[in-house]
Amino acid sequence: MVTKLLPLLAVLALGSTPALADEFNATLRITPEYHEADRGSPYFAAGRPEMPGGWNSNQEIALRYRGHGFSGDATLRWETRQGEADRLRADLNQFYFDSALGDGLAWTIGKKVLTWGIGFAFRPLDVVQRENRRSVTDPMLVGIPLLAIEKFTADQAWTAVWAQPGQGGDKRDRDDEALAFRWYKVADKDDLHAVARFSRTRKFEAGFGANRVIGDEWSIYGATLYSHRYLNTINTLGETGGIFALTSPLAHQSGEHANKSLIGAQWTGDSGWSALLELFHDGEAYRKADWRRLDALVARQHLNAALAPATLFNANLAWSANAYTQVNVHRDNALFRVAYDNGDGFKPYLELLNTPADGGLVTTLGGSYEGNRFKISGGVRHLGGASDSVYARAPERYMAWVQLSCPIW
Amino acid sequence: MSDRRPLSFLRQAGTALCLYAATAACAAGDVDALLRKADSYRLPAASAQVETRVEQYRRGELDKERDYTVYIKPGRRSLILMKTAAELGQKVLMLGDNFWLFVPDSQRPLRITANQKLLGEASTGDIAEMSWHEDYDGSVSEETDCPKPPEIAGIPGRVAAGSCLRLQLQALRSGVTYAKIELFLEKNSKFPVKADLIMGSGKKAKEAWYFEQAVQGRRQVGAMLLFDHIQTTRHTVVHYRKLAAREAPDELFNPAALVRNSLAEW
Repeated sequence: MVTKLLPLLAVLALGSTPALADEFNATLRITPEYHEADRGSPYFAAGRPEMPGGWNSNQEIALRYRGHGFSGDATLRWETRQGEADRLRADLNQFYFDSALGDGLAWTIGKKVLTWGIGFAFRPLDVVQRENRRSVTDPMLVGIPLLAIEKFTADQAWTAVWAQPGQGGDKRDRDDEALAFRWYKVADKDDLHAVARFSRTRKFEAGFGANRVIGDEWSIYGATLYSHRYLNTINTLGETGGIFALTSPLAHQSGEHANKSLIGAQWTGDSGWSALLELFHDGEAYRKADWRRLDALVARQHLNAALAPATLFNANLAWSANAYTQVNVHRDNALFRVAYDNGDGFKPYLELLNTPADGGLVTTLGGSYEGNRFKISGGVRHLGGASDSVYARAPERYMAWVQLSCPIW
Repeated sequence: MSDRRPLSFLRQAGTALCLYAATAACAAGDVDALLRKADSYRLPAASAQVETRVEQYRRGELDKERDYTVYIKPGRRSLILMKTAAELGQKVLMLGDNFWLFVPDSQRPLRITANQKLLGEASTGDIAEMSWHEDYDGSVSEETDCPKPPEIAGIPGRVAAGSCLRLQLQALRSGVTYAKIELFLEKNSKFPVKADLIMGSGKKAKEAWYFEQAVQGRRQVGAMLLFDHIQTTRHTVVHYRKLAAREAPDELFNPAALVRNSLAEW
């Protein structure tokens, strides 16, 4: 209830602010994408809406307002999916009021995107927003209802956030009521970050990170986070030795003492070429043993397919395939990215994500071009690697996308 | 009479040489003062707000235009707010040799290297670095005729002519966009005329020409014409549409503050 009231409270604050310059604009974004399913994958479930396959497209108008201390971002979206009815939806991505209290003190109330931390492919310290950094075509980020107080000096910043006030605990991450704190310091060539978060679900999380720039070309960085408790989603049939369930067997399982860490290095030459290498560990992702258990369940389901109606069989495969919705399918990951910037708006890149535990490989070849009034980006992502790797057995083989965006006014 | 002529010629030549050497030595010792004077035509005050329009031309045709509001403070502190619809909300912060980029989609300030800030349509340094005296030192190499600018239509103002001082400048720190500058200043007024902008690799990156305009009876650089020596088919015109003394608060120059909405009013 309190959460829903926050944007309204932000509106009430309107009356107490002086008239300042307004800024309003709208951007049209069209994102057609194609997903090629792998029908030979043991996790492929025919006829299920969760399965990848075919064309879909998002047409959206992103509205943005800044003024009177307010920030608002909303999206009107028309979604088309092959084989499904079109959908219209409207999202309020952000709506918040922020204001200075004097002497470097400021406060924020409303729904806001609040991304913290260090890292390109994975950000261990992003304890409030928990953005999925691996997605290439996600719609705009949706903020979190919060109340925040911040203190700034010339080289430091402290932030205290009450996220999802009134929501209570026992919820997943961004919906979980929490108190979060951040400290940030600029120390010449170093950025130093520290975060802490308290919630009923995760209990206590704390981490720190640093980013150092070396000369004109190099930056190295790292971050680590400890979580007292975490939840991940498992298929309970994998634990019980069952085969088919009539209702979803997915359930949250809690674990304790998880660590998320990342180290990375980035080089940028004055020729426009750049390269990035990141090694990261996600202690909340599946272990190899978790995948073995799930693989064994899927094998049992295929073996006994004749005993169940096709709809039940496919529903159970789809529930098993839910494991692929994790941001990181394995705990240990390595990302290599090489990119080029021609200085005239054209930026191609190649990205390789490897899972050393089983030799999985996700290859992304993409790029963007920014003209005077538009930006077009696109690419192809292929899931593969060693034949028995998790990525190679995914129900999706590859995806291709294009995104065109241009300001309307 | 005839036997005194060679002696007279030698004496005159020697005097001229000594005068020239003294002038050059004097100027070399006072390069900081020359740069401060030249800077005064680019920035009206140590803390200033600069409204900039960057027009990028390809083969003579307007290709892209971008608007920026730049806040500059002493100590190499600059904050660039991007105002064109295509990049609205993006910000670049420069603190000394350190740079941060803020992109609204990610809602997170990102520390970038000096080379990363160089990339993109308009070099951040061309917009944010407006204080030669803080960034460069060097010497006066000669007094010469001012170079004549190429004829480009549509740029308001004119490039100073007459006699020029030619300065060879080296960057005082590594984070500066251009490692060396060969700068021509109009001899009497010290108004900037032309600069050859040279990268750390020794490669000439750009050639800048400074067009003067009178604003409220005061001479100032109204536009800068940039020829790109790497992308040879294009040139860029940077229009300084408004140059005003304005003190932005210190906390706006904290990277963590880039996410705050309060910047929209600046």
